[in-house]
Amino acid sequence: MITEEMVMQKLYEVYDPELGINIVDLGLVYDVLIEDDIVNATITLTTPGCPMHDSITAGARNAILQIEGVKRANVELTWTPAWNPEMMSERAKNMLGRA
Amino acid sequence: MFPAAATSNTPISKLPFYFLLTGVVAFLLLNVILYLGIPSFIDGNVRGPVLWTAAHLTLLGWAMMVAMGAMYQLVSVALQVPIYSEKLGYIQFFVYTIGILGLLHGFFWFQPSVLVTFGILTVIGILLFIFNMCKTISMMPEQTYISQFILSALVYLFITILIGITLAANFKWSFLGEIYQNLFYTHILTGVVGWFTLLIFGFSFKMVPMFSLSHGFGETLPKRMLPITHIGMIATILGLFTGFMILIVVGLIIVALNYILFLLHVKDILQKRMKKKLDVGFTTAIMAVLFGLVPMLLFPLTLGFNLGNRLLISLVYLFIFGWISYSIMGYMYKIVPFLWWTKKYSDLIGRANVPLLKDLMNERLARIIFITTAIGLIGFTIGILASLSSLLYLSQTLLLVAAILFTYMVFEVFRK
Ligand code: HEM
Repeated sequence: MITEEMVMQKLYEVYDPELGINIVDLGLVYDVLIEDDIVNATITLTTPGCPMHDSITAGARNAILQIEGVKRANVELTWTPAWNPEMMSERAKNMLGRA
Repeated sequence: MFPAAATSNTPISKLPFYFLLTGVVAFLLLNVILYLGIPSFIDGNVRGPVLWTAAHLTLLGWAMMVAMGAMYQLVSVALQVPIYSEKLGYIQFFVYTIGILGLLHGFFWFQPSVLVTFGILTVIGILLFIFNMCKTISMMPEQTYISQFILSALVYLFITILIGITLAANFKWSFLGEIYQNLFYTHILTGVVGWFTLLIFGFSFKMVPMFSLSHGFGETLPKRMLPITHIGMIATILGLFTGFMILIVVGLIIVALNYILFLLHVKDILQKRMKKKLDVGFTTAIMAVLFGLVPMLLFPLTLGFNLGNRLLISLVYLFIFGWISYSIMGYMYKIVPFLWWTKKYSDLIGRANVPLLKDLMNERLARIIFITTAIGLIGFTIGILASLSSLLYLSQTLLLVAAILFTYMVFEVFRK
């Protein structure tokens, strides 16, 4: 059985290479939906037109595919609702120097 | 929730590298050539072969090369449309580079025929670039203030190079008469203020919030800035052609005002940032804005009160090297690792441990380079003003050492 927790755990390993913080703490992962062996994740980025656009989407997909039993990973990028700094975890805010 | 566009806009192509690396080589070379130009700064006669060469090596070989490379990479990012034609980009690169080599030769040895021939090639190379960018921007579903800034900058670039080739043709055929001087000043104004300054503004609107992770800043200031710039530029140019000094001064005051608005906008973005500690490349780009502020404020005063040629020359130097070139150095620190990272590691992310962008650059070395450069720039500016030959040689030595280290630092990235 694949659980949302397992997916989130894996996504913790995907870092925004510019900020050095993982995408879960950054609050970029909006939604994870699991149907048997297919994982659908919806993520966003801090800015529309972020240069890391493709890399981070691909990174999330690669990470999910590493979970045992996952056959397909669909990672969809969305701009609504727009990301804002309040979506970050306390840990991320601390790492950026602004609690 | 609506899905974002599924198409990939980030080209992992070699094209930007061609431009950026050629630009770095030019950067190294220009710092050598500037030694030869020091006597001209001392006697105050800057309009001669050596400084024509140095100026165009700086502006066309270094600043423009990097600007083009960065635009091929970043236009697609900042404006979210793919580049119209990559292939045209390669053609454009070769035409432009060959053009510049001949152009510089023509300036240095003062051979008007060579200057005109290769000047035409350079102009064609730039025209192809302008065409490619305009086509790209026209594919955007809706124009933004950022794309409007870039379009305006391209228009000034177009004017600059047409005047440039006309000036060069006049070296050979002497047909312009008195209007030559007016065209010469317009060439400099549209080139360094109209083209480079607006371009850096346009990109900063996107880059500054992105690198500082800023949200919720106002966007009315940048939207008001563009018409103000055009009014200032047109007034100054009209003043240059009609000979009304008051018009030139008023025009330059408006241009300076606009620069202050830019500064206020950057300040607003930085105040609302989440990322507290800014890296050295980004700090350098911000420092460059402050370097540029000095000449911007002093240009109208210098001309209005006729404070002398020496002051004017030192201000133009500070504007070109402290604002345009220094910003570009700072942004290179961000752009080069980003390009290399995307090329080498983007497939591995999520699968294996990949380095962060900051791991690709040696921050300590970079700090030494940027501080040394800043000291060199200030020293050189004072050296021109006070006509101190020893200070000019000393400052240029600092700048050359920094340039050598900078070149080393950029090439080191590709080994990581
Ligand atoms: C973005 C493009 C360009 C910029 C920013 C630019 C900028 C400048 C600057 C700052 C000078 C003054 C140099 C000095 O007095 O020592 C100058 C002079 C000159 N430029 Fe350009 N230039 C550009 C492109 C061109 C091109 C493509 C040509 C074509 C051949 C050209 C031809 C000339 C000539 C002939 C002069 C000497 C004028 C004189 O002193 O009488 N420029 N340019």
